[in-house]
Amino acid sequence: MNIEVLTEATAFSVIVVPLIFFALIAAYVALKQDHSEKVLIRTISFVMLTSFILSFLVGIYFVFSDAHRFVADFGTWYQLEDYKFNVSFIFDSLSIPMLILSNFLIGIVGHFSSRYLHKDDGFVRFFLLYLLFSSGMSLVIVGATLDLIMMGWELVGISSALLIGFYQKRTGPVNHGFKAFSYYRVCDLGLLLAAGFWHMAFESSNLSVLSELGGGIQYSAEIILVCVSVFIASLAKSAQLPMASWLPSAMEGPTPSSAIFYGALSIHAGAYLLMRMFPLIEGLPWLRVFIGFVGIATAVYGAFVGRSRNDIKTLLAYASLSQVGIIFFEISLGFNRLALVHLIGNSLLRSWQFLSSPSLLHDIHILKLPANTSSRFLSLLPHKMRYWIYRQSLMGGNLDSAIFKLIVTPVVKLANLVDGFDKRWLYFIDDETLEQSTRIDIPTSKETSDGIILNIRQ
Amino acid sequence: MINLSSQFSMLLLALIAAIFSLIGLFAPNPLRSKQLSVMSSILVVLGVFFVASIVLLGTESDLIGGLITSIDVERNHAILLLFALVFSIVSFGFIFTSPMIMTGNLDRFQTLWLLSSVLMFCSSTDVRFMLLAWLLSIVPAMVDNTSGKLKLQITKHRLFIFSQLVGLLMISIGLAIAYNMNSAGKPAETSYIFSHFIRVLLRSNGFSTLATFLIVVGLLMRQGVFPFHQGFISLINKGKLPYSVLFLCSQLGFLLLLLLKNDFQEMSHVFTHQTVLAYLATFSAMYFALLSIVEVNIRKNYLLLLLMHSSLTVLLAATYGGVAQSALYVDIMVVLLVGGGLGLVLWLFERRTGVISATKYLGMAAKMPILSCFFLVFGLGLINFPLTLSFISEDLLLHGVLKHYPILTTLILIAFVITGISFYHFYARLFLGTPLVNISRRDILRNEAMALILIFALIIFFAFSPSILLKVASHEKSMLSYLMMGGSSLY
Repeated sequence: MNIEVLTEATAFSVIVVPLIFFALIAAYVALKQDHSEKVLIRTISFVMLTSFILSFLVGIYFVFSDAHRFVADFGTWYQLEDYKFNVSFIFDSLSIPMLILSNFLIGIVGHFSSRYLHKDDGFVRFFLLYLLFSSGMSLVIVGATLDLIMMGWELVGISSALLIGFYQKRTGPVNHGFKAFSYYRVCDLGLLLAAGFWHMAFESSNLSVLSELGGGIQYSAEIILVCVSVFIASLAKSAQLPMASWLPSAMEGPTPSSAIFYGALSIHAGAYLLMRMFPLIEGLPWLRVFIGFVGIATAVYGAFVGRSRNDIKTLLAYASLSQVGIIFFEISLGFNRLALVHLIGNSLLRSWQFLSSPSLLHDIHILKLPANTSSRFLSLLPHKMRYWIYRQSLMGGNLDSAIFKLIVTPVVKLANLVDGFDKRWLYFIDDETLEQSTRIDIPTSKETSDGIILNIRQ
Repeated sequence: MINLSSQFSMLLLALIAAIFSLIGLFAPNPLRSKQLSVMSSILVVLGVFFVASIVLLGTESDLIGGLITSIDVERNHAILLLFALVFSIVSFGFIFTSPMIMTGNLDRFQTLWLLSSVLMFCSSTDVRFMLLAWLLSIVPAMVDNTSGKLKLQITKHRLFIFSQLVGLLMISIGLAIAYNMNSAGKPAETSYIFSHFIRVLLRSNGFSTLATFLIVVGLLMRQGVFPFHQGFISLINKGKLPYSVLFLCSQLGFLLLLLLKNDFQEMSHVFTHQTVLAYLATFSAMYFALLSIVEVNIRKNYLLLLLMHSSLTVLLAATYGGVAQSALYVDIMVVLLVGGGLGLVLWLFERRTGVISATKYLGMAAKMPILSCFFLVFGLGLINFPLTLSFISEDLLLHGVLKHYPILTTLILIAFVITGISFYHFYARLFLGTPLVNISRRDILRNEAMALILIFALIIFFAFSPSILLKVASHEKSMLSYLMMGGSSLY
């Protein structure tokens, strides 16, 4: 088979086909108000299997060819003056392993979910969001322009937030979904700006300009802003400090979604983006030092806080956080290959751990596994310090409180101020009675630790 | 054989729409309900057919088996025609759902009257005619039936009516100043055409600045940009939702601005105005974004989402370059399509639940799953989500405006982030959580679903083939000068 046809078929299969089936299934269920789980699962399994086989074939082709990359070009989506929105996908030594991993894990988790969510009210909703996520993640992995990556990035974000709030009749998951969505929006801003500044710097949206430039990059203000924006985007997506607190809250979603999002793929999207942009970041030592520092700090934070948790999913979330921190550190040192291997290994291990977490008690009992281990290192520390570390770990390092104090509270105060001004402005020009204030209360620390960002009361 | 010009056919439709709206207001009971809605729907379908054929087929077309031949259309008029087409479809959405839930005749009258006004507006390039259409579009706000009887009621929406009339007056005075300065009391053949005024403005000094100021402020008042937004808040809080939504989405001011914009860009001394406009737009966007965080009133929350887009549109209008201009047109269509769709969903929601503010989670997704999906989809369409039309306007904003106003664009994007977060919270409050409100009606009726799917299909169609919109916008730019020189058949 011609490699161009193969890459185009793969790109179509991993990105467009899930979206088509998303639309078809949604329309079918809306019209019929009924569905067969078996048919749904078979359809989705077929889509995922095809995607996996095609991406695997591209991988084999890549291994036995001399090419450094394959590009699947679908032309221009739209064009205006000097601006073109190119739809092209890149298959190289970075994206191919990630794509194979992604399709493999999505397929496995889909199969697991078909039994795990059997007869659940949200069965169809779960698989619709699963298809949306699959398409978005593939776009992030193979997108050859920042605009395409941004599209995938937002698809992953909304599917993630809606899956965290999957059990939508309970307020806890809904609040946590909202919290994750808020963090994601902040990181979307980073990627949006990166795309804009990239175009200003290179007069093109294509990432392949990096390889054309080679090592001779002149670091203008725009390029530096691209790097910083990409870093901000990856911080929130990969739950690195100081944006780490949403990850444990995200465990409210169904276990399969936790596995695929926060154990395997979504959590690593930030690290992947940094690896993709590394040729640009490479020449900015201060940024690399900062990335490394954030990575190490997150790794330590995750290790300590994770040890203070007593439910398996939260513990795994912090373990995942820790490992991604180390991956960030590896990237900052320029060990991209090691980071990729680490990423793949961590994804596989965490997926397995998440998927087997519901049967943990059974495993402990039957296999006689140790339920907990204590650290010998910690026992060497003075009692007071151990107590302080434990207390800080229990409180999650007060991250939520800090974010609330520094960001949410001022914004809400400002919003209330603007609201008050607006009502007075209305009163001034129309002499209408001032409506009863609809101010929102700033959440208390207890509420913030429960993950409630905005608690609106009249 | 009927020889029709595009403008004439649209005027005819506008007239029929106006007649229908009056029938809706005064007709005897048997005609008021279902039959009238069906007739109105047929009218709108006819309108859609007319305008679609004009836009898609262009000149010298054979329609309805040769019954109507040789439709005379200037392709440069396509920007208004396409808008009229889409507006008709969105209005159709409201009218088509009317047999079931449009209980009062006032809703129907207001919708059809507004449709008539917009068609009038879009059928002309004569500024007097456009301003007349604008004036007529305000009329439905002056009619009320809350006491059970239809009567003229100006005080209820006084703020809205006042702001619109002042806006109109300012534009009229602005254009009149320009006119008189040019012709010295002798009307020229093309005196009322936009470019003529603008050319006059170009040549003049202090008065031209005054004229430009009056025109721009008048347009801002029409669009409800800060600090002129209170009229819209009053309208949406106290008025009928279909009229309020369609009026907000009609974007007549920005269409006018779009037509003026080509010539604005040639005016070197207006540069200051444009910079001021850009700052005002950014401030306005941040203002509405912050307000949306604390707002619990459902209608007002929706309004703030739309006003955010209005602010974005002002920023686009204040930016040089073809990309920004195309983005402006795309954003006008976003507000019309997505805002209209979301407004329709909100109306259906309000009719079913009677809920007007959400201070806690209402959990309505459990009762109305399909409506909640439509709400989410249209809402995401307003916060620039991928696969929707607004994503394209955001992308064009990034690539067309960022280089001119990097800080302002960043602030606008931050405003969008805030709006996105508050929209999700808005959605969560209405549809997620434990169900609190009991409703007797079904989730969504077939005709309602059809109307929503039609609007949604258009959003997706334009999102996947934005070239149609962009071509129309860029074509407009190149052909506008021809139009300005008297290409319109109305003169």
